[in-house]
Amino acid sequence: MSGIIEGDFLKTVIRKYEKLLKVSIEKEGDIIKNIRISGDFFIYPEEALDELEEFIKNKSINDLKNELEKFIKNKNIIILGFKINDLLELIENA
Amino acid sequence: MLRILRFHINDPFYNMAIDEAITKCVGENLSPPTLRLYGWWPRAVSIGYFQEIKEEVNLEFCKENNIEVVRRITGGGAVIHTEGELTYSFIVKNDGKYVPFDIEESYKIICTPIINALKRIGVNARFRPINDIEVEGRKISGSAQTRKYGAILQHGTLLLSFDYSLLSALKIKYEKLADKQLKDITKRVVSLKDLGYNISREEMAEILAEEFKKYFNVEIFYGEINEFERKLAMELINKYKSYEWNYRR
Repeated sequence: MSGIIEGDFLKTVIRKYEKLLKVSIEKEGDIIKNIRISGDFFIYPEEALDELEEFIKNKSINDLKNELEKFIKNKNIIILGFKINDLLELIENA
Repeated sequence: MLRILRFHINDPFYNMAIDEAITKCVGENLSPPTLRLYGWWPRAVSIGYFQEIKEEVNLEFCKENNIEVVRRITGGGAVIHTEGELTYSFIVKNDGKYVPFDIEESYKIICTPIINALKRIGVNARFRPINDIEVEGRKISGSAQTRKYGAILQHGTLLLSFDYSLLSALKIKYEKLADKQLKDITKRVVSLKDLGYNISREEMAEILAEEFKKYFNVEIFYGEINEFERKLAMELINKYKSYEWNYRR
């Protein structure tokens, strides 16, 4: 199940993977200017979500495809409830 | 030795503050491994660390019905805490002794004595990854885990009875299901009362304590919150009551 909601300056995409993942995003062309990720998933350590959002900002989707997995691996971030490709898919579709 | 904190009822903010305080104290060797059994009053909605409060909670309904709202330090979904629910928290050092380092596996491990407790009273429950316990495909228990301060905290709920009208406190964000929201959720959730079991929270808490003792093969003792934990909880309670914390997303 999924949906796209237009509101404020952010476009929001929600999709149920193993857990619900919601991505609110502001793009300028191919560049992600702002992103907020929320849902009922688990990320360890929890504070890593803020870092993840910061990492994504001002990157192009193509850059992310190359760099996101490496960033998560290097930071020893564990995600339960969705996969990195799920997040990339939502970002791309937003 | 596993310390058991007997079933007790606290306000939502203190409940979350004491869970975090015990976690820090266990990590710093100021407290023993602990199983805490508790309830909530006033009623509350707790939301997961990564959830957006305004998206998850019907704040107007909560205000009208004296339901408090608090954000947890753990991920996972929004939960309604009522007098029909027994909440547990299991807190141990993150040293691999009780609970494996693998997080997914550890959910299953910590849920096993809860499943055993349900089986003991005649309920055929099973673990459903990542973090649920189900009976005949309906959720009876959900848990959430964090690892910080050198410790593991897993807290979760066990539904003894449930007032389904309180589901209005939650916004189920599957917009496409909105018109049949209640019907769908009631099919997915079940309480012991729904299954024909009338058991008090105190009785269930005792059974859980015994099953944790058996499963982890550890001696238990019934203890109290210590001064380190109490003092820290009184500091942390301000965080859990704050707008900055609860509305951070």
